[in-house]
Amino acid sequence: MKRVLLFFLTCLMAILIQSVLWPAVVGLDVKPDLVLLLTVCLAMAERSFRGSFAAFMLGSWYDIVAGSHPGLHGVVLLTVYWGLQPIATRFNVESTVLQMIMVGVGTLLHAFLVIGGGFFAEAGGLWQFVLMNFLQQLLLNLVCAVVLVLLLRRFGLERWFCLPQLEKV
Amino acid sequence: MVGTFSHPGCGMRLALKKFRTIALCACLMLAALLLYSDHLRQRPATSLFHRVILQLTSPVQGGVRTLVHSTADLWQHYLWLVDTATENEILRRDNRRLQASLREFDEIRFENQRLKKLLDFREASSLKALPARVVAEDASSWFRTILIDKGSNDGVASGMPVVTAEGIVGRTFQISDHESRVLLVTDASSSIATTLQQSRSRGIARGHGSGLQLNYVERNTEVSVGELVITSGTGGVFPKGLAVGTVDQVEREEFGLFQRISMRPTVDLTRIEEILVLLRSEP
Repeated sequence: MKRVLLFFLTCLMAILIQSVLWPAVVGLDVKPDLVLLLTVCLAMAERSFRGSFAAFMLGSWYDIVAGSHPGLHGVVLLTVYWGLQPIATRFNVESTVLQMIMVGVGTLLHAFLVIGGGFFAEAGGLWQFVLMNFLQQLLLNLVCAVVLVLLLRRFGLERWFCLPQLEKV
Repeated sequence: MVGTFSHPGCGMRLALKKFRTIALCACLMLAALLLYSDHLRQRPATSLFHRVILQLTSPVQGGVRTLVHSTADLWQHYLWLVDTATENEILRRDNRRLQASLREFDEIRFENQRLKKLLDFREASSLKALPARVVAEDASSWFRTILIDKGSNDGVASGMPVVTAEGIVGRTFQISDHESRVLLVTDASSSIATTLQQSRSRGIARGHGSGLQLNYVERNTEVSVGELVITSGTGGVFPKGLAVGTVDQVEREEFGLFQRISMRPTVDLTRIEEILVLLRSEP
């Protein structure tokens, strides 16, 4: 129950940062995708149907605050979760480098799937816009992931998120 | 030997147990795809799940936004006054210039009023407008939407035009009782029927994130940079004559039927705080 509540609160905080705090404070069009980073965490922490369901719910919630195509993020985040599972199960996810690779792969997969979903929704120039801003998005996600890893390590919160113990630098 | 054989149903159960997670995951993906497909077919409808989550999330978003803005106001108005003197001087200069323009525009306004009466055009004030406040922006980098604090209880329905004094902002979609989401004109899914103000040539303005692209304007039409683009009123959503954007760049290739025109929206969509929803618009 505690973990479900923590997951819910983390989702809410990620959405608030992306939809309210970031536009008001920074004002850049490109925002860090904290919901995607949460899906990456999920892929590292959960390896069952429960993880898939959580990723789908996360995407469904994201659909209400992002984009104009309800259902798109549900499919996208579920697929990102499954796409990251082989990396999480086969490799040593305690390595910070591998975690960053997972964030990179996750961002790439996310962008690719949004473009794919956009074609079905007749969102004409979405693919151009995603491709134009992809590098900025990747960089921002990586920077945020590094900051989050450092914060989690600093305050010893890895256990709370059921993440593998992060390696010491 | 005989003892190693088991009941046929037992093998089935073992197989089911072995592939249960995969089967459940496959069902989940199928459900997700069906939901997406269903939403694509019934786009204007807002599901109960969306309504409930919108109502639960938006008060928190509104609270956080108010807190952030109050803190920013306190900082800018009382603590950070370094540029105020220079800014005052610029504002005084602008004020004098604007007063001169205003006198000029008054004359044009009176002339315009007379012409409107003559041609029996509908007055813009006949459109019932509902003021609303922006609560939050789109959480994703790839889409351009905003959340406003007015919903179906205030008379907002899906597909209503949203404007400011400077021009159009977008149209409403996903409506809950007290909140609605607005698809901005710069979103890739947005397209508006428009007319170039000077040449009167028609085109379709499509969003592409930061600006707009004006499509299907014939190659031989003279289009100048800075020309205003207005709604044509033929799309069925926006009334005629609202400002959409100004021409930013015009490209003509050697071949082809149309020219490539980039536009800048007249409304600064990154800084909007208050908007108007046109409740009964007649294109």
